Amino acid sequence: MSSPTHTALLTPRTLDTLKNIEMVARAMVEGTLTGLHRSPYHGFSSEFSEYRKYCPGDPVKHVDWVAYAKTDRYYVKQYEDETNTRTYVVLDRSGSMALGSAKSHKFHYACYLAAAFIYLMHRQKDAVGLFTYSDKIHTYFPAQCSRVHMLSLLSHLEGLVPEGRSDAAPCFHRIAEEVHRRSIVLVFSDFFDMNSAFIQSLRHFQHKSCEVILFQVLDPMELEFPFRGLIEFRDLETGEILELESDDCREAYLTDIRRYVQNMKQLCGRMNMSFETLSTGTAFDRALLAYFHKREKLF
Amino acid sequence: MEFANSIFLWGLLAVPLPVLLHLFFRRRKAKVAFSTLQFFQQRKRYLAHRRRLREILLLLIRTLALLCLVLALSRVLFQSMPYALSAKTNAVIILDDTLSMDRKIGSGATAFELASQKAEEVLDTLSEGDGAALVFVSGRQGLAMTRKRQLVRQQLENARVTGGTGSYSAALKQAVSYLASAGNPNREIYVLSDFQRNQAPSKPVELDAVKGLRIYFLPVSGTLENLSVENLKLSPRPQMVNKRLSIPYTIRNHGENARDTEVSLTVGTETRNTVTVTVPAGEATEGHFDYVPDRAGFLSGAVKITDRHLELDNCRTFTVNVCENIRVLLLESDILSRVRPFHFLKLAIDPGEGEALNGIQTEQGFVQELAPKELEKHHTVVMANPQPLSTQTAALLTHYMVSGGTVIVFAGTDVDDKTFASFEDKRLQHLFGAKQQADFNGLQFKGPLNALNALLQMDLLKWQRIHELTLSPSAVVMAESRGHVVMAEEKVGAGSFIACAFSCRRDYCNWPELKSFPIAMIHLLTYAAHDPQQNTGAACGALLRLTALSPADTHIALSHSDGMLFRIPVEKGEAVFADTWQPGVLTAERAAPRCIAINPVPAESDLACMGSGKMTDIVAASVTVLKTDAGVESQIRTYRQGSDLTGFFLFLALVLLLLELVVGNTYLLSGRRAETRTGKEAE
Repeated sequence: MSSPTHTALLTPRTLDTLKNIEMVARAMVEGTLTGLHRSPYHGFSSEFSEYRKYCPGDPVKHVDWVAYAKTDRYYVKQYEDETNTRTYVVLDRSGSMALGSAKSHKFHYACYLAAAFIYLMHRQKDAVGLFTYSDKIHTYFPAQCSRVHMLSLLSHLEGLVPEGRSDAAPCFHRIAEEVHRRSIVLVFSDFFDMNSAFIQSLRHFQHKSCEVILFQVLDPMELEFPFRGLIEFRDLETGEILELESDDCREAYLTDIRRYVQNMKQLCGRMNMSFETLSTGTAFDRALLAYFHKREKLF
Repeated sequence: MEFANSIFLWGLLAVPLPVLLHLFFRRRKAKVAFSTLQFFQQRKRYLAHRRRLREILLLLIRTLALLCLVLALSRVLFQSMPYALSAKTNAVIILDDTLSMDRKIGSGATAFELASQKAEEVLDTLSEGDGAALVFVSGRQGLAMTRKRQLVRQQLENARVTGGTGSYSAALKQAVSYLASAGNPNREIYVLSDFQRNQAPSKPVELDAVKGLRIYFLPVSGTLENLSVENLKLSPRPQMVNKRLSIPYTIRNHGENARDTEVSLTVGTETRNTVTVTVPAGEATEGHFDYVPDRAGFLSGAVKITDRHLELDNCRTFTVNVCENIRVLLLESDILSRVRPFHFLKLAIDPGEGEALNGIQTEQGFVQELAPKELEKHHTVVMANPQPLSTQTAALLTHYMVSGGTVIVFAGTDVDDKTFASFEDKRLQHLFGAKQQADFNGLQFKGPLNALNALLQMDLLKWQRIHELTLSPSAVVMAESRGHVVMAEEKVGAGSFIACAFSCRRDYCNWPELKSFPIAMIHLLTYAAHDPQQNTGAACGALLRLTALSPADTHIALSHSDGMLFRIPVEKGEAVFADTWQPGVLTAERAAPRCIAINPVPAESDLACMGSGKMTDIVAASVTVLKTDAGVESQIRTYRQGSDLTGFFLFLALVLLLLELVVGNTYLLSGRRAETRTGKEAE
């Protein structure tokens, strides 16, 4: 696999695409920096939120005298703080992510997406952190919003190689413990290890009130199964070999994987999480755009 | 295994075609690295090795189908025993011609006629160059292996049922010897018989190993009902003119139903008496006819019954030599002696000169001049005070006694325990002991002479001397006095040796002077008399030995009661006649015996047959039993060629092709049904 540079990861075309996009978090997150994200703590910033009755102890300076003049009652103005939030990019670097052609396999695609999101968050002055995992957590970058940090994350992404077996559940539990409450967690993986433990680990994120967005990165080979004849399949993670008649099992495979993706989508829906399946056959920026358009419709 | 259309065996070259095509078009597998195999784990049935197995199965089915097709076209013939279709065949027909084959079968013909017909059918199965031989179970001369089947046919046409019995063992061994000497590779034995139970060998016949030997049994069944006359047991004593001749008979019912039958006595050509008897099932009824001969000479007759099931044993013949008198030979041993040892005895039994007033005619002779012919003329031989016998004389007398004659010996002063030492029979060697002084009176008759006690007054008899008799346990005491045995009989063969412990003169006792002496001696001689020319006849199939009356005779003429004439060559004064297969009376001119009754073998009259299991146990080899009611020719051809497996292989090929369609149908086995379901679901 050729090592992508950060310029390679964020092509001018990509950056141009991202320039007009604002990533708005779905829920208000807790942040220390003022930003675009709505804070759950009503402050006294520029954007009016609502009135409430004055209570003894409230600072007198927050009393809206105009409203008092009109209604003869004391009201206090509340403002919605726009704060920076913490975003964590969680990247699956297990062996199964290496599927695809040498120049563009699933992991590259996931790296591009992660880089795009890192850049985007940096532009929004959000703190960005990074986790990479397979059957354990390989790297952990705490969330920061400095440019140097962003560059180091992009640089780290360049050097990653997909390998090892995938076991997301313990890793997610660990990540869920590390991330701050109400963070945004962006997970890039193929999610072929869905099981009850995995679902429990997702619930851990839910428990910490994180907004989790799952990006399932799949190769067209996995989605279309274009094989013909006798095929010797080798599992990229376990090395297991299975000889199959691709013609015989295509339909069953496609049915199964569609059902699997559908189940994932339903599961995430039930847990109030976003789930998006992305094919590496589609340009990643277009997929990103499509995602953001979708996100925009929600707000 | 043989192939009727072997040209199609070239088709076997096409059998590996599916394998070759498979190898030629074998697909190469591509190697693909894939993210996860979890979606395939649940779809094990799509695994390549399953498909490979199916391909191998298909390959196997196609190969087998081709093979079956080729074998069907080649007409595979399965043979349980080897038979080379293209080679020549030697067949031996063993035809049962024993008495039981005369039984009637359903069509009214005899079993033998049916067997002969089937034998001809067997001959019809042989082709040019094949050999055939004929063996009769009775042992009658058959026909050695020949390629001229017409000769065998003629022999079959001339064959008749005999009155004899036979041996499967001998017939089979004869057949094997014919086959072993012949060159053709296919060897067959056909046994056509009723497989009568009485003929079953005690153990399976072991045959010499003959390569390619096939044995076929063709059982010919018929009726089991039969009445038979058993052998007539006429008295061996001389039959006299104008004296009653009793002819006892036994009628046996071998069937399962009580039967009535007429029993008739025929003497010469004239029926003398007829009675009707009822014979219970499985039992025998006895009776007798009386006949008084009115002239001396040989008399032949028969007892006949009426039974239509098996006719050959309906008649039993007999021959009787009717005599004018009992002929007694008085044998002296000392030519130079002036004493006449038989003076009192001759006066007692034959007082006149050649008149035979008592029906007993005596002749005198000397031991030194004794000849077999002389002995055969006489019914009894009497010796008195004999000198020690030579070995030759002892042998002659022994032969005479064994053949039924009786020798009466009166003791005397010269007799001691060495007188008869030259006899081979140890009982006779020391029968006479030393003479003893005796001082007592009287005599008591015993055994066969017991009736004389009431007739004769024996207390006047005074003993002076008496010889001690050493008797065997089987000896019969005929008279004794005061615990001393004075007259005893030792059985020797069919005859006997009667020893008298006293002299027939006055030197031992006063009996010759008493009136009881002639009466006792006449009774004794009448009891002892035996007709050496009387014969009980012979069974059918037995060898007859005839003695020419003159050494100059080169042939003996024989005539059979059914009209056949035979001329038998004489060798060393004796002729052997073997053609005794037909029951009847044989009469010889210038030969002894003169008249011989030839009767069927009694055991053959029981018509019970062996079961199929017992039948195959006759021979210790594999046997094929043919059906009588079906065409023999077709059966034989089937067994020779073997079972035609064309139909079987065609059927198998069809089944395999159907199986190939099922297994090879990807729609059924590849899972494309799922596609159909998906389509429906989509709808």
